[in-house]
Amino acid sequence: MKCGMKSLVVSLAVVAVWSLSAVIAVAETSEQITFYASPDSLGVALEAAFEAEHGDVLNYIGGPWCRKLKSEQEAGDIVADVIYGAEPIFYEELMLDSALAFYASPETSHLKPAYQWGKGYYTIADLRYIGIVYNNLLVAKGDIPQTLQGLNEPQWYQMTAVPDATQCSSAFALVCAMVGTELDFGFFEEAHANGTLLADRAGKLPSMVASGEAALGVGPHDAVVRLQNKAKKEGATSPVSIAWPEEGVYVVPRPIAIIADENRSEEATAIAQAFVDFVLSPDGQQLAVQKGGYVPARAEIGGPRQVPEDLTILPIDWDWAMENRQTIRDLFQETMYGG
Amino acid sequence: MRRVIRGAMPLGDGRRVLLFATSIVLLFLVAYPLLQLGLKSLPLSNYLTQFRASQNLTALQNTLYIAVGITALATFLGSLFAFLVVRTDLPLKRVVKAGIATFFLTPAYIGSIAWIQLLGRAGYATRWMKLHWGVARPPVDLYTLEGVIVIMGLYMIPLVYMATANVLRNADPAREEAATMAGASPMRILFTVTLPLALPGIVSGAFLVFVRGVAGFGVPAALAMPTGHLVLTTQIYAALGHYDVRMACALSVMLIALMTVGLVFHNRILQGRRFTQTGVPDQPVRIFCLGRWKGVVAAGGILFLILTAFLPLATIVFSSLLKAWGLPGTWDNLTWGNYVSIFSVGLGARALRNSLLFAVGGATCATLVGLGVSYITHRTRLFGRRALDFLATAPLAIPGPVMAAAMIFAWMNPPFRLYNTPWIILAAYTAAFLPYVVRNIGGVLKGMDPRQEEMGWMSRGSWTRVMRDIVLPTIRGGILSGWMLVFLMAFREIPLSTMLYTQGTETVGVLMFVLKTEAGGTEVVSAVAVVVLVITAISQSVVGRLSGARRGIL
Repeated sequence: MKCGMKSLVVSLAVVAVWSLSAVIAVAETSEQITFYASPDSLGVALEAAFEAEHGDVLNYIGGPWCRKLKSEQEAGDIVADVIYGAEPIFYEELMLDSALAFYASPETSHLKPAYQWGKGYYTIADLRYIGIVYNNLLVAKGDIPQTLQGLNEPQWYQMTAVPDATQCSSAFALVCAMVGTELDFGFFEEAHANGTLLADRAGKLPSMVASGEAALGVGPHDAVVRLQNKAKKEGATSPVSIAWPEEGVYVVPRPIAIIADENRSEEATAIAQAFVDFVLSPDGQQLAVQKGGYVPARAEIGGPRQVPEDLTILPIDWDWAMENRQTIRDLFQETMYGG
Repeated sequence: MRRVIRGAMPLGDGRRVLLFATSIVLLFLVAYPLLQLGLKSLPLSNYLTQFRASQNLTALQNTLYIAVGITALATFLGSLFAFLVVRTDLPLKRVVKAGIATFFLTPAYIGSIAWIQLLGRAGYATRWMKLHWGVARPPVDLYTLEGVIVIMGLYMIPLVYMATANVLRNADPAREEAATMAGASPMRILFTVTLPLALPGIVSGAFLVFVRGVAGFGVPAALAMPTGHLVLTTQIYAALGHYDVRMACALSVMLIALMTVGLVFHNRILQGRRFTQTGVPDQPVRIFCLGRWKGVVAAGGILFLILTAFLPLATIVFSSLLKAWGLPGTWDNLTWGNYVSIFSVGLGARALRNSLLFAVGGATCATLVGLGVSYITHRTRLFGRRALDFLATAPLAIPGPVMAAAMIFAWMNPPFRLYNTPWIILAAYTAAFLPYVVRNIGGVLKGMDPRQEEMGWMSRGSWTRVMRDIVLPTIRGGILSGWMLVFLMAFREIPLSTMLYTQGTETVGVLMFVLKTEAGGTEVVSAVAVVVLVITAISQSVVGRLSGARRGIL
């Protein structure tokens, strides 16, 4: 028995030493920049495409990068050089904290005029369209609601889902859009009374619908596109589709920005700027469509086929949402969290 | 008795060195990050805001309800199964052990996915019941606090089972023999001798479960949050979700306070009791005969485990083979593609390798530190031992994402720049999973007869000699199960590494996160879960073999 204990200890030690030597071979050079982005498939593809031209200059990190970045900021040193994803309010807050660097990309002039904002501190790179996500095995074609309000019909009792604004910033942006400047939570009150499920992330809602956990819900188009593409690769058809409410759709833009850092070398700054330009270039925008399923912000590049070009886009007052973010969050929690 | 021990011990022995070394490690790994967390939760007005908010009070109530419910459920079932397996002539023990192992190997968040697939609003069982029983609504509502209690409670059974079984196996048979000789009935022996002797194991296990119930996030997020039930951890997650790191820290300090209450209770119950066990592992223990109940108990136990452990596992395996989640399970819709896709991306293979390495490293470090802490807490009266015990337990009460934030605060700036290196993940695993080792070894050490150690002193053995020849072999079971527990938890952990990884140090957790948020969909997540389960099952038996244990870990 003691012999067994010994061999255990020895083998553990061997594995431990090997493990550390294997993992420690990771190091970053000063000419590299770090970029945080989501989703992973898009981040990886952008890194590969950019490095094919510029060499090994990028260090891509995904995961829950918004939270990571906020913790880094709280610790006093943001590691990322470029960030890409999330929604405008996140960037507005960073801008207020002077955490974003000014960079007016020459590519900005090629973007759709409606999305040329950010005051040079951030640039809109792609767009998420919010529609009615439904499971076509559970919802007959004729039954698909024509409006968002239609989700609250009694026939969909305990069959719908909405994203949770308290858990996810994209969901929060969407809720800001839906309640509007009148702070009308009527839709959410009715949804709650109708036994709706909250999806902890907006991007997860289409998966919930695909599984049938909810038959239909309010969600972003890009995850639907990704689910459909994945199923197609397997030679199957995903049961999840998206329909567009007739009153028009909300669009949540995803920005890109460079983090302010006085100690960044000129070389690294040049790489960061070149990378932002690349993401906004036709090649980068194509990747956003193919790998992420997003609608590009660039005017001449077409979006995925699931998003028609002639949709009516509803206006969103982002400045107002930014000012009232705490109130909106509190009211949402009051409405949806009963006990 | 105590005075004798102290007198027999040579002063300036290795134990002070041990105390010093463990304290340094704990100060660095736990106290420093916690201090940073505490500083971020200031000013105190954050706490006032917290208490004034009525939703936080509701969250606190719900959290306590869940934690108490889980503790009751897991403690009852865990100690019952431990007793049945170790101390009765139950037939088909292997099946029962396999059932417990299944709970043990399935992470709770995978478990909740499986249960939703099975009993959710569109679950397989729900649809079956709707079809055959003609009910319109799901007959079982998983999305309730009670749902959280049952699902989380099930996956906590092994924590109590392991701690209790370790103690039951080593209990001194002399007392039970004495009771038999005095003419006590088996029932009486069970309740007056056997169970009281097993108390340290049961209570340590129950404490672990309680604190996990307070600090657990995955299951409440999957089952309570969707229908608008607040708990403290989801409030913390919400605060992190809108990047209010300070509020998240303040709420976490509240969790530590709850844990402290639990720890005080735990120590109260065990205080002043002496538990004796033999030092002879694998000795025969008293076996209670189930008599004519044998068949009924076995059938009941196995049926229970089939429904709660094996069936959800089968759903996971099944959905991992689907081309797209939600498709009906016809042959046309099945594929190996999900497994291929895991290993075809570079990330997949790298993540598995890294996690294996980090888990082995983390488990080994945590076991070494935990061994030191438990020895000092239970076997010495050195000043500061309670502080050590508290520090080594505190990480249990902190939800993963907050723990990761604390690590970033602590180890991003000089003097300790671990952030963005592999070391931070190793350090995080060691700190976060240390409590499991401390509780596991503590339960066994508490039960060890001090006379054994005294014998060593009497025969003028050095401290290292006594440790090596007497203490370590006696508590080998606790050490092994502690190591294994940390290895498993670290291997499949998500929140720490997703916040702390950098290029080249991706883990299984990062892979799961990526697949979960990507188009991958749940069928791919299920496939990763199956791979994780298979690897952990293999490692469990390898470690069992290597250690020469006849029974394996469970």
